[in-house]
Amino acid sequence: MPNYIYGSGVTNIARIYPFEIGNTYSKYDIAFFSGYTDGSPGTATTANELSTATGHYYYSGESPAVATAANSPAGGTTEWTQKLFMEPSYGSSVSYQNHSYDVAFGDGYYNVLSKSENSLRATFAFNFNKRGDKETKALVHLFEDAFNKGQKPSGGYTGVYCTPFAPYNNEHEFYIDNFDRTFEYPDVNAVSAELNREDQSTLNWQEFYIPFAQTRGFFETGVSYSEHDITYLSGTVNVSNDKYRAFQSGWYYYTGNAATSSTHANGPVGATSLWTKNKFYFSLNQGVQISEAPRYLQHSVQNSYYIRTEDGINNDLLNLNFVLDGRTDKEAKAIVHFLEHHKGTSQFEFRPPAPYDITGKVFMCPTWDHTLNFKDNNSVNMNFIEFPINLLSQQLTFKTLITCDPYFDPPAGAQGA
Amino acid sequence: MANRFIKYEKALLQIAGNSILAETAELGVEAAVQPITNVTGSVIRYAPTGPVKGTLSFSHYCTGAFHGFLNPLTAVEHTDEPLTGSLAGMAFESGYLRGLSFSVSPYAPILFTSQMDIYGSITTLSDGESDAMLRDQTALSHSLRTYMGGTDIKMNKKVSFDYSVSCERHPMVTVGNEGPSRVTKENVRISLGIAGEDIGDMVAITGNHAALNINIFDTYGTSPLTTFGCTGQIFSQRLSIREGGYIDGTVSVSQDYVTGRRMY
Repeated sequence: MPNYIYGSGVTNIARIYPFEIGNTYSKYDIAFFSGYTDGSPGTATTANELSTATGHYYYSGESPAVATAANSPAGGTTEWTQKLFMEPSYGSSVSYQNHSYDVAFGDGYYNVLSKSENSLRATFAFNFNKRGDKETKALVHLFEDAFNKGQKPSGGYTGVYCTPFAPYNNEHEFYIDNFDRTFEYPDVNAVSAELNREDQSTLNWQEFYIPFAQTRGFFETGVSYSEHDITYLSGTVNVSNDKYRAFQSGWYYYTGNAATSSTHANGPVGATSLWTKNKFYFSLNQGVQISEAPRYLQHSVQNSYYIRTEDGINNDLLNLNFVLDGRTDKEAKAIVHFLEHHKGTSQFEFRPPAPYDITGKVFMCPTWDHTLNFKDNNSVNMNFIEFPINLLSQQLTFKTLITCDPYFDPPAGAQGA
Repeated sequence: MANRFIKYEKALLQIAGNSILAETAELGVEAAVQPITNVTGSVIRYAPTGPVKGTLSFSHYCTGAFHGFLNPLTAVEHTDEPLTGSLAGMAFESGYLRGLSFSVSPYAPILFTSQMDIYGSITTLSDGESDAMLRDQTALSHSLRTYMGGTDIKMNKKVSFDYSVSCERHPMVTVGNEGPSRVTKENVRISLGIAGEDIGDMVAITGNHAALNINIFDTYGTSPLTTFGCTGQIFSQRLSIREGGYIDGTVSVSQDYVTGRRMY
């Protein structure tokens, strides 16, 4: 058999054969599917006739099976996929970075403007450790073949569909920029890859990379909530005739130690609330290092002498880098969810450890990394930047003007028709 | 007065469905945890850093055919072969052999020592097990007829030798799981130390090649119970003597046991 199938797309991987009915396939087998010949005498059916994409497919079934029309890539009981179905190892991580315009006004005042509604980017760094030769071949081929897919001849690449690990377990189309493979020992390999996508919108209040289903959903009374539960308080939900006000809407995080049955009193905006919306309540680890570099003006005179003078007020705003280590899966999800929904640009309260524990200080977190060390063992690295004025208690006025497109023709029966 | 006694006959060691007449056996389980302290100096919790891992160590005299699954060289490149087993009423489903060693010295029976890593659940059986058939196995691995073949070490009179095979076992745990979906076998190494009256030719900078084989015999046997080999490099030689004693030479041979990759 040839090592290369004409028109299948070039990769560096040898021994890729076309799919054939009657062959036995096992997990991580790769086949090029353009249709099949079945029956006696053989009848050729193309992938196009089967309404299935021509291309490389990967066998994901746990048990080997003899190929038939029914379990072919176009069949109803197929175990073939073009998605990234290999499960990453612990040590994988997710890095967030908000892309913003930072405007400094002097005296420590500044503004952070997101460059777009999808400015908060997450990069998934997947590790596949201690993999067998066959799985590794399939992984590397899948990554390489991603660069053969797209709208030909000049369109952009299509990505690889993948459902990352919890709590990020929503399927997305990712783009793989680079990947590494290490031969460690016979049948033992390490593969790492970076998966990116840029079209996750921060305008989606319901979910960012952590899906809505990973939270406790909308807040309700009479439900048992426990530490680090995440719930959404909606201003439009009428609970026992108590309507919450619109500005109270938002994501809340349960800070109590013990599980309690929710009431209006201990609910997100109750008098004895156990919830917080804008307070970073997670405890810090031992080993926090606080480095300071106060701002000042430096005037150079002769012979490398300097005169240092005051540069206005707010000259020692904290810029903290620290890691929360050893966190449970639930706490790590709450931490990342809290940071996701503050988008790198929204303020939150944070009280640094004593003797820096001045209450009311507000920070923003433009970048953080989440590493999954093991089951119930997560690390989150963060960068907190202090803002000089606490605006959390200030009423925000929504000044965006929503207009109606005069040329928009609503469908019959729709509102405004 | 209540009687309490330990029923030793129910402390059977079984691996892969085979009863083993063990001299000693020890089963241990360890959780890898790391204390997490907060900035005020309190322990928040103990975080797991790896899967729960058990170890089984045991020694036995070979009283019948040597069980091939106790040799870590078996199918070295196929790393997904967990062994089931039980000891004293505790059963495991995923054991991975990590080491085997034995010593041969004059007038002594040959005791095999094995180590195994265990992942996955360890369950308690309703009762311990026994195997009356073990008493019918009357062979005994012994140095009397056991010999080492091979002339590369240039030692005519061998007094004793120690043989061991060791390997590293690394669990592959995917995100979301507590236990491994596979356990690799890496860095398989055979070590052979031979004591005798000489040390042979002095080692070169790359060591000296040696191909040796060991034939383990029963006291009265005419065919070996099992054989072991070591085809590697002599890397160490020592000669020692003390007052009133003999000149003792020792030669160490090591082999990295790699069988190559499959071409997928």
